[in-house]
Amino acid sequence: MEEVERKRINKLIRQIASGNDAALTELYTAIGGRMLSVALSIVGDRPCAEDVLQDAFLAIVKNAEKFRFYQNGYGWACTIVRNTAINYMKARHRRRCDNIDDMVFLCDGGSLEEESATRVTVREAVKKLDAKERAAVYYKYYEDLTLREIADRLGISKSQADRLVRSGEENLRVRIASPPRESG
Amino acid sequence: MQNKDPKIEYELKSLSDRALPDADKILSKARAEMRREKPAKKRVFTAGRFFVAAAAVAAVILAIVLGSGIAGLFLPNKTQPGGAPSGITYAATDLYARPVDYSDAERLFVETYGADAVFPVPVPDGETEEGNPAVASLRLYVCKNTRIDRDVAIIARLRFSGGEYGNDELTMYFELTNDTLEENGFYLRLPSSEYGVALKESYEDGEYVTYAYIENKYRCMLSVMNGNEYRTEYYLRTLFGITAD
Repeated sequence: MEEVERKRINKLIRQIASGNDAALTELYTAIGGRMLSVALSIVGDRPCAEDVLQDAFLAIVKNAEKFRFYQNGYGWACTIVRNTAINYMKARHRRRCDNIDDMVFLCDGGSLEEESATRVTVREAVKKLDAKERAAVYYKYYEDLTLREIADRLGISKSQADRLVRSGEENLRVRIASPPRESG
Repeated sequence: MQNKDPKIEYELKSLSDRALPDADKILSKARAEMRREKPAKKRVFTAGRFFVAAAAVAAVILAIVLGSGIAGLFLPNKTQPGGAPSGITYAATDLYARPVDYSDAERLFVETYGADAVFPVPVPDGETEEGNPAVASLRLYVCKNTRIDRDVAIIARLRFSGGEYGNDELTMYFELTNDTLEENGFYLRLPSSEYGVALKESYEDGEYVTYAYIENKYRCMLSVMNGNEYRTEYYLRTLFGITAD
């Protein structure tokens, strides 16, 4: 499934390079949410993150011709949004937020009443992770980093990063599978 | 990287997608750029253009007539890779790239080019000269052309770090036949340099980029990127033993 999705994203980027407008919209639907999360983790507020996302998609269009078929399309797009966010902060002489701990707020797009029980469960499950576990899960699932890269970002060894990712995933799996019962 | 848990990936993606802003708002700049880059051009056919087109057709016919007689005497056998490019290209869409480990890539390289051809890809964490960068990561892929069901290229993607100029990103594309990947065609048109190989240095999106085409026992398209400096001399020397005249 993951491989199929990767191939689809790579294909969309190639289609964007040849000027396919529909492919751009499809790519946005496929990865826009996670790209927004990456931008938010750096700039810290939603209006700025949306500006970054806008510029990142512009950069994707400009650079799509340079994208090579063997690259990881999602990782490539993540690098673009990350660099765009960093440049955005530099241009405004602002300090980077780098607030992964708050990744749960990334989805605060509407009222809780509208949110399905499953999403509340997932949000709560993420919130309950240990800060380092949360960061490791974030880097793996949102920025598509390798274990070595996660270890570099967190300043730990590769095996420690592996343990963190595994324990974070296990905790998420358990909590998503068995949501806490409502009181009363 | 270990595989992602599909359930977790799906749930986190759903969570992020819920906050997705309106596509028209976010994609407006990108769409404008797309329209800008692909303007509809009206071609006006003037007498001058007619003359140029006629001259081009005549030149092609002349080249075919002369080439069919003479080229056969000088062109290398196309079944033996390592010679000049055949002029035939293949499309990226026909390729299937599979990750391989170092020994598999090296074996394929030696099988293709012969035992005296040294696979010029360094191993990660190998010893380097004092003050120079070390290989931080290496990814190797073998590309099969699904149209002809044959391995046609090895790709090495390397990241060097620890040097005084910051990180370097390298891509080495080894053709295993005399054909050329379409999108690498520009390598064959690079200007020659004092290193004896065709190369071009350019500054793109804040990166110093070198493109080099190396053709000896094997054919390699090399690109080197660094945020602070051109690194042409260093990598041509350390990887290929090539120095300036």
